[in-house]
Amino acid sequence: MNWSLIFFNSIYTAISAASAGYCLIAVGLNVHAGYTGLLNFGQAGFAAIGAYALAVPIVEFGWPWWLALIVVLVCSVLFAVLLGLPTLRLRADYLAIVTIAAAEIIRIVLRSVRFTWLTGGSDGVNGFTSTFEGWNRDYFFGDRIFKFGAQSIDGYRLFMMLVGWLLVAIVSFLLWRLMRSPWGRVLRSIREDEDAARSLGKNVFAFKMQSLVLGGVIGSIGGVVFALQQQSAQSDQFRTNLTFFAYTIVVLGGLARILGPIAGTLIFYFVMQLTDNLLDQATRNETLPTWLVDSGNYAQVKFIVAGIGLSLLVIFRPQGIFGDRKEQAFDVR
Amino acid sequence: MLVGFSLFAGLLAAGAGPAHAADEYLIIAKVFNRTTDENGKDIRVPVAEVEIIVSLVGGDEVARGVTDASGSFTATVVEKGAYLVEINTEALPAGIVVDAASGVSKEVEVGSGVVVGGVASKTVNLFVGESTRETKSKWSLLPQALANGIILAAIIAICSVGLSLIYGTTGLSNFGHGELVTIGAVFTWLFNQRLGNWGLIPSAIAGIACCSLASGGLERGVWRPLRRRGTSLTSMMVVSIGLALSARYVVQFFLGGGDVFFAIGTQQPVDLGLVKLTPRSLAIIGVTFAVLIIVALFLLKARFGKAIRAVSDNPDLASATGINTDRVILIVWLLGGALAGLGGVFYGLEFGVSWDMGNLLLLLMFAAITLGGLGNAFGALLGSLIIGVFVELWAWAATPDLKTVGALIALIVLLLVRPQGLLGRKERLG
Amino acid sequence: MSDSPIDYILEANAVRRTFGGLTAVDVEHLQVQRNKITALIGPNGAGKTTFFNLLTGFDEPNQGNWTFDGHDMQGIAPHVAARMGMVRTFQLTKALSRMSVMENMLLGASGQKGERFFAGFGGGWRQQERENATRAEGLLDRFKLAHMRDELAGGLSGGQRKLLEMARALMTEPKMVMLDEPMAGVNPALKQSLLEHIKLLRDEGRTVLFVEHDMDMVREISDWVVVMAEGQVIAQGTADEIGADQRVIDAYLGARHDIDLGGGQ
Repeated sequence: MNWSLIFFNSIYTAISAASAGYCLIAVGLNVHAGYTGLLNFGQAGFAAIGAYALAVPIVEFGWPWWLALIVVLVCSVLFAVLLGLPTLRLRADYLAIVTIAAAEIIRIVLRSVRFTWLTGGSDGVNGFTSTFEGWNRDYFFGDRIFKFGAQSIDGYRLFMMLVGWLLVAIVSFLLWRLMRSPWGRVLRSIREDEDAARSLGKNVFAFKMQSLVLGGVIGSIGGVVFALQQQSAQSDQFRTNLTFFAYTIVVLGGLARILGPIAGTLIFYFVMQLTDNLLDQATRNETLPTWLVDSGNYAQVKFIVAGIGLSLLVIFRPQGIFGDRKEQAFDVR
Repeated sequence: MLVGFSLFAGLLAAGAGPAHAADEYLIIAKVFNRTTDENGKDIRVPVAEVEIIVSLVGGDEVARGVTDASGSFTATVVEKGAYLVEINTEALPAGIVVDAASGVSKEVEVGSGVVVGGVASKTVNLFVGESTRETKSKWSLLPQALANGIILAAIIAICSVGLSLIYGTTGLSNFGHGELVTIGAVFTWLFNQRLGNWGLIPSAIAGIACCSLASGGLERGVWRPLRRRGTSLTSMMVVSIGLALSARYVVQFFLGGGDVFFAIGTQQPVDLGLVKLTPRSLAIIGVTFAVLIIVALFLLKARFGKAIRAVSDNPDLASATGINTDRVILIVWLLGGALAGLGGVFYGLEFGVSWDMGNLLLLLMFAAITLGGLGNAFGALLGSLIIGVFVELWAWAATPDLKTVGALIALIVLLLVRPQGLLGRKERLG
Repeated sequence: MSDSPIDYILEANAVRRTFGGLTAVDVEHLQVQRNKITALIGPNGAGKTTFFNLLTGFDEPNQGNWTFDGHDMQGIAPHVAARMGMVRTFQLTKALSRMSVMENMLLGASGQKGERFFAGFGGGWRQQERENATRAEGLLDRFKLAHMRDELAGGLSGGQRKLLEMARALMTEPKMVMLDEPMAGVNPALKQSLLEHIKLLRDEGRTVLFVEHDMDMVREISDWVVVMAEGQVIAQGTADEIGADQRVIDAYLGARHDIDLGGGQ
């Protein structure tokens, strides 16, 4: 067992740009579910929109990167508004189901045969990262390969790591300011009790919509970072599982805590990759009996761990890492 | 009949080669024969014994082998770059024909991904070949689409009645209900194909019983203690999501990623004039109808059925009148699990058994009971009918790969105008 | 009879609310005088809270119209009604449990610049926040909650939560305060000071409409009493007139035999 490689690869994965993208998706979800109490189960849809809204204009229409980013912004705001108008007046259970439905609609449409001319169908879209690769080549790390212990990292990935986590830091800082303001206070009051907020003159629907838009845009930015790292936008990356793992991350870190999603993402990715690497090596070296697990099915173990982990977290430590025991995860009513 | 096939090449990139110094990548080629089944539906059947050649684009051959029983062949390569995956047309198994108008190969790019929480595959699809359905006129296929819709509606209905009853009596949106469907189907398949060689009906009875017990065990072991602790409904919903996730991957762990089928032999469709249905499809519709009537009578007339409805309406009042709510809830879970298991058997008969069959169905189930009105079992039936028929009609009218989209949009639009669903009670909603 | 025109802040006409076959509220005509304390009493299930919900926009009537401070109110959203000065509390207190007492209070302040989305990024709201905080401290002092200012509201006792809800409502500078059973669950020692608070509201120029079962309290501070039973207004008058009204006694005795309309309860 090559412990060095297992260890360094797991850490690398936890701090990679893909992880940063995931973190932003979780940060957006934290705005929805953590601060406002909106059970948005369609966050994967926002991420998918971010990835495709970046990739398609660049590849299909030849637009410059900054114009594509504007498209990302417009599309995610549009999706948030279209999602919010029917759903924000619904009860929590209805909201969860409908948001999943909306994200699935997005995913199915993006991968459908009918729209292959625009979205590449189930192949997705590639080849939109040349500008960013150019930046890396000219101003940053170029084509060098870096060594992180036993793990090799190429220049572009290192560059994206920098960009990704820088975005996480900026977004988190802005959110921190925002949530300490009266606006953030109203959001939290909506999470506690909407009617109380209404009785004090707050337009609950408008605030919920603003929260949905904010968290959704952040989620889309996460999708952008993710796609830049993978160098592809592909709808199967954005299944409902993504949203469930984002919830795991948010609960793990602590709902309504700025540092929550960051800590949650790092730990989640590390544990997932560690599980994978351990089993990968164990099955190759046949350390474990092959009737139990082999190279064909070890990949499922980490998901099994994640699912049980989420359940145990919610039951036994709903406040996560940074939360307060007095404040539990989901509504206390 | 065998007109074409499709070729799938997926790839898994290991972020770093573990035991070896160099990096290793996997290219998985899957060969399917695209054809139509007795009901006129498009299906993909995996094809074994097809020889695959993997070579570097513009370079040498790197790997060669034949597809296994599940139609897939895995090649290991060590270099990043572009590869060509193609079928050796000179060594096709007997009876398999290539469609010259479509391609026999596909290029794939290896090494530009990173293992990211397990989502490392880049899937490249190549659709080749046409089905024979194109020659029939669209309108003549409408009755068949309706019939398919009713079959789907029957399956959704059987599965979602339990979901609706659970929601009604405990308030829990059970995201694990899809997995109960899968478990029922998987257990049935185990008895049918692996653990024994039983016929379909004994396997089904055993499979449904196992599923029901699992469901009841879940209530006793997880939900009841959580209710005692005062866990909020939202937290329980998230717990059900976590458990469902794990269960799904446990099934995949043992079953693999492909479809398996019950051993019932091929059936000749019965010509009913406008539509053709196999005996098993007719059985599904018939049994569903009978079971739903029994369940409806049970809820309306039987003492225990009334108790269930009382607990759904008002748990505190029900327990104040002496009803043992915990026992009622346990029976609801046992019943719901049994019904889901039965639905799983039906789904397996129609579409095959796979690890994510429940997940696919779950969204439709939720759409059905939300459409019909949460907490109302009869609403669940109405919603299932609408969703099932809508899905198939949409598939008939538009592209088949968008067929769930229509139903989901219909759900959203309906909730816009009637937030409590069709038969739901109009209480304070938001 | 007074000759000067009576100033009514609230006038309601033909307000009906039915649930299925049941008529919860059926108020032909109701007027609430400005700057007075009006009590709304009646047996449980009389429709008092439902009526509150209808007036403040938390529920929609099947028919009816009402005006507040001269404005037509039907179809108005609850938060708009609140901004117009019609602020209510709830029978089951809605203290925002995971927020501190001070945050609860600050939430009540109206017209906060900092509540706009983009204002949150900057800092221009801090001055107003300080002013609001000072006002909140004053109110908390008044209600003897100042020492709990940084506690999470979920940690307060039932009676303290009631006080918080009342104090919070006052932060909005309401024209009319609608209290839904303000005395329920309050420590008897606090009740007297609570009565003083409510009288102070009137002296400050506000109108008070409250639902209560505690007849002592009703006697002590109400300028006017409205009695509801089975959704309808069956009697109106001063507390003494009501206590002697046979219809009222019947309504209460018909529903419950143990309500003491006389002295101590």
